[in-house]
Amino acid sequence: MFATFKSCARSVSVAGTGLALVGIAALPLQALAHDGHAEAAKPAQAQAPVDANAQVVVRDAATGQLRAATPEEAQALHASRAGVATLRKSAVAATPQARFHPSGARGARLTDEFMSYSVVVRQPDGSLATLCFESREEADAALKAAASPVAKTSTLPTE
Amino acid sequence: MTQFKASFAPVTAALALTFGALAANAATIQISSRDAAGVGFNDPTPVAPVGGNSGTTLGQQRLNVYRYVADIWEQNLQSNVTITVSAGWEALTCTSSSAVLGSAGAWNIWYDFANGVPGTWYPQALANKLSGVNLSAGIPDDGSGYGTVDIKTQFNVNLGNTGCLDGTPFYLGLDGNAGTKVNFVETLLHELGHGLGFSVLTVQTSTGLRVIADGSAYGANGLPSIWEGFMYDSTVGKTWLQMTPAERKASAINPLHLAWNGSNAVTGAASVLGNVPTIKVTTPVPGASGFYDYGTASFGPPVTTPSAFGTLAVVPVDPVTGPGCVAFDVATAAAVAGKVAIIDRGACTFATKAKNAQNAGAFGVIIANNAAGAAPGLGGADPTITIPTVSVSQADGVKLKAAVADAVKYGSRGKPGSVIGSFSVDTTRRAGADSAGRPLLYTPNPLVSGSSVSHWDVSAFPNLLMEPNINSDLTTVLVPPKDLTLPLLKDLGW
Repeated sequence: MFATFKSCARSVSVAGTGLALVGIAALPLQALAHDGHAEAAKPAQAQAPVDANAQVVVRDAATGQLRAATPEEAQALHASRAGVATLRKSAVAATPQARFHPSGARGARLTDEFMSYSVVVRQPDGSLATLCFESREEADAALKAAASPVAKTSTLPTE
Repeated sequence: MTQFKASFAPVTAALALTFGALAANAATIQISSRDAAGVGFNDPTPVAPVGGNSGTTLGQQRLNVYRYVADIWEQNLQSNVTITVSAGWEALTCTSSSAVLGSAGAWNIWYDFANGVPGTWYPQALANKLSGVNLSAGIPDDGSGYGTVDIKTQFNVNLGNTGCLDGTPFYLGLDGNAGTKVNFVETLLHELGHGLGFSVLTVQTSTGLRVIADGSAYGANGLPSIWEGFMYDSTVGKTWLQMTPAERKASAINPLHLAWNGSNAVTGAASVLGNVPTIKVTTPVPGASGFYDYGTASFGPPVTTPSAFGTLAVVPVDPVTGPGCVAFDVATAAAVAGKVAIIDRGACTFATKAKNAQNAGAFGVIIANNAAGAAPGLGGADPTITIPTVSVSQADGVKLKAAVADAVKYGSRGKPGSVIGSFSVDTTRRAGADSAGRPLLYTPNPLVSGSSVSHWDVSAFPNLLMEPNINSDLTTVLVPPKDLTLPLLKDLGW
């Protein structure tokens, strides 16, 4: 696992830093926890600082020389990698996938379109209204309506 | 002996059922994190223990709530197959005053497995329980890392930060004392309920179409979900199983006429749901006495039941300024002083009408709706309003106004007939159930926020966990006499 990860070192540009992260010499095994399916019931493992032992080098935008990454730069790299991984996984899960069981049962892996969404809107009197919707579209529409000047007054009709 | 033999078979069957029920173990729920290090469940931000949550980091407290809620579900469900939940904290849509809290749902669905209704979609957790096997076992992951789980959940990692319901984070205590924060226990309890099966799931209510056999799309030849056999529309006298897509589409917006007819939930409703609060009208006018459903207002004092309301009077519609929208003229003020003013909806705010009636000396206000449908909730705010205001449906408004007009002739010269209202309960009906005692599903027309047949109707009283509104007075009890969540799930096969 460790060797495999080393071979995957690549250049990743980090927006806003003025730096190019040019290599990753090593990352601890814990850094891969988010790529797998780490059991949340083991918080001690899941909470280990990911970059505690990482050796990350960057090319300094000012000098053009390689140097060790600052903690902030290392964190940015990690966040970027996590973002890429999340996007990749999201793409995988974007379409349903058929399922088959030897017993003859048939199934499907669904998508986020089938999720229920809970939304909260702060009312004019400061109280919170929490609603559950059966689609992302409805949830987004509720947020949009809550943001409009007309609907800001209440989720109930006022006249 | 003969009698013993004759009764032996049923007793054996009963024992078999009993042992069968005992054979299923309490469910085990496994939560798996998708979070990166330092994020979500792994957020190392130090926090003080709160409300029975002993976690000392934000991530640990989040995890503790998940475990707490999973334990509640474990105590209520039986299954020999571990229920798997994929959980993550992500940046979801936000504004400074609103936010998507999170989402959840069944991630895999099945049909034609052992002990299920053939040709019928089930959520995986329930399909596994019924078949006794993990149907996804051996299926390679789809690359996501969570492709075979029963339930997928995600919640807003930014809630409470600037730009995301500013200053109002999730309350991570376990004691229900959320105060002005968002109660994460109740939110998660509700959303996991959907993932476990409290959902029509594979029916697109806006079209009535169902997910087809390969799971790839909605279609006219789709398979029914296990929910549909329990959804009974009293207008057409059919369950959703018996309907065309067009009929299902219409049923999804048929207010107060789509009910759950599963025996567990119907039985539970009798002990969970209270009697319907109503305006009890007494009058000598033939056919006008009786119970009238009402909606409440967000302004003015709350209605107390039972209590007197008063003698009803009608505020005439001014064709120029609208009904009750300006200070009442002398005649109208005299008519409503000391009485309850019936005012038509329209042309100005509910609060304006109530304030004008109050200024004229009215003791209360009834807003008569100006469109078909149930009595609406009355929004608005005016802290100076001190009289109770309620609404009635358009049909009931017409009936009450006619009664007020006719009442005089039913009295004597010294004591004209009148129409008197009081706040009472209709002991023949349950709040949130139809006339047969079946708990109602949420089917407002037109569609409004939270519209979904995958929830109980908002008329339920007391409030239920699986209403579209996640109310602040909920508990974590899922069974009667507190709640109907578990009875519905048992109807499905849990």
